[in-house]
Amino acid sequence: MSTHQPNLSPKLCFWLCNTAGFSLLFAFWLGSGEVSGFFLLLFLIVMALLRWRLPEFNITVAIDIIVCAALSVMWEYPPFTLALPLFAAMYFGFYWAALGGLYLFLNFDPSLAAVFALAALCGVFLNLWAQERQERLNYRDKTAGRYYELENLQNDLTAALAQIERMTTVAERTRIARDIHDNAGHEIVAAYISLQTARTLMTEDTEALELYDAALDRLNNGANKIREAVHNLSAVTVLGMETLQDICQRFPACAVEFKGYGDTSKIPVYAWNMLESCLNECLTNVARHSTAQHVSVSLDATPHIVRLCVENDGVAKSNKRPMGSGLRNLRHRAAAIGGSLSVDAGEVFRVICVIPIKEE
Amino acid sequence: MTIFRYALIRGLRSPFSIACNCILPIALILIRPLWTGDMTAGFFFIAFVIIGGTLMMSQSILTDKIGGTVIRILAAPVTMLHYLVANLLACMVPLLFQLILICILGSALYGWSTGFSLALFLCYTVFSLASVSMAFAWHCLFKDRDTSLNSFGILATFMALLGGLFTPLDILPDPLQYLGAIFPVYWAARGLDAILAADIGSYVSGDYWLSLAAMLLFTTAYLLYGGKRRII
Repeated sequence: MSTHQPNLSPKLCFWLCNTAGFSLLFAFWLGSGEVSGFFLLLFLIVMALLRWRLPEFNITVAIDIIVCAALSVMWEYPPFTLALPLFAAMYFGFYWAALGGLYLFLNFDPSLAAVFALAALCGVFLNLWAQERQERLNYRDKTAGRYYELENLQNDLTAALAQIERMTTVAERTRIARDIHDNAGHEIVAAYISLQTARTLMTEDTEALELYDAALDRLNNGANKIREAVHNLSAVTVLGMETLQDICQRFPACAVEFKGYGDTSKIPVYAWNMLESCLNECLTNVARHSTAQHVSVSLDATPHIVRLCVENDGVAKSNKRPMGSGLRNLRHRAAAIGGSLSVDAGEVFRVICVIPIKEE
Repeated sequence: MTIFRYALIRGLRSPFSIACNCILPIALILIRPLWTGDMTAGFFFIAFVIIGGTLMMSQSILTDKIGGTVIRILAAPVTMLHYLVANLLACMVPLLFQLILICILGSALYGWSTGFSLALFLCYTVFSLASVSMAFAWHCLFKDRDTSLNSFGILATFMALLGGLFTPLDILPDPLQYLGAIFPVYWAARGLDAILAADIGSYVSGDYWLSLAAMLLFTTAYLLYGGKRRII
């Protein structure tokens, strides 16, 4: 079932009024049948079609007004035909055309004045309607644009949340594996070595020695199983600064220099995720919108903040959009975790992301 | 050039097109009573034949539109203006040949003077131009081939009646006498009347040029309308 609804627009109304006007004038002309009148009508129709076909020639309505005024001496209806170009001029916003009403001062006729006033008012009202409609359309487009932007931001946040969850899981597994390896694992291995040393001192009771050896074997198996578990718990994927380095190395468009400073062990998982997204976005922008030959990435970690700076020597291909939706979304995300993202488009294009490190 | 060539070939492929553009005009010009004495109906019949030829030749645009060929053509580096000009030119070429043939045969058979033949040729040419542009604008209104052709046939009959091609306009009521002026046919008939009514050697009467101007204005109006209308 079709949901199409007829769209009554000012433009449609304008052309309907024009058609009605031409029909009335043609009906007038049928009464006399004078050739000059027909030519005037045909000329006005051709000019109207020209403006319909090529809106940039709307100014030609001035020619219509001049011709109608000039020919008013040849045919009795030209003063009435003047109403049509007057209406069109008002609709196009050429209010100077109201000077065409000077004809009234020279040759005043009440019926003519009524026709002129009606035509001009109709044109003005249609023009105002068109302007209001255009403003509403612009507002609608702007609102729709913001809606889509927010939708993109929501998608980005959802994806970031899922990634943070994954990274948190991996980080926790890594921490558990490290704790087991560094604490329990070492203690058990030390105990096993001590017991092996003590074994050389026990030589008399055969039955006790057998039990002792069995216990040692079981302890050895336990140590092997712990080692295996630690190995399985350890993360295969890279995390933290290694991730950023990996992104830089895999960037195909140009050379990327990465430098890292400070202790990064205190940087939380959500901050790494933010930094990773920021670096990805910056490098994507370099590939898409700049002619950069060299990109420099530096990561500074202090006890209170972490700062990522990405700068390139390329010139933006287009200066129409200094900050795209990707960077805007990143700015929102950075603000959501108490950080900030700033862009400096000077001689080099620089993006700086600062994220505070909160104490656990 | 390719579009023009194939539009011309497709236009002339139809037997009706050949009949309207070649056989019928020659047959008409050979019927002596239509061109001599007080009977001058032949001049007006030729105008009607031109409308038929226009209708036949302008079908290529309609076929392209309905079959979707125009979409494939415009996928190539061809502008819409180039496509339309090529098609309109392809419509005009057979009509021009037909008119040249008529003028030559008329001069040979009935002793038309050079001035008379030239005036006749110019009038018919401008009328052909108006007819082609009108057919083009008309075809742009429809998405169905049969509807477009049938309705144009009906329109052409009305135009011929109200334009004074078949009957004198004097026998019609006053408003109807002027109603035909909204069609180029009326002005073509008026131009032909001006040629026939003039003395030998003075064909360039004001009424004649007025008729040509009216037909040119109609051509402009139809082309502007047809050019705006979405053809795809």
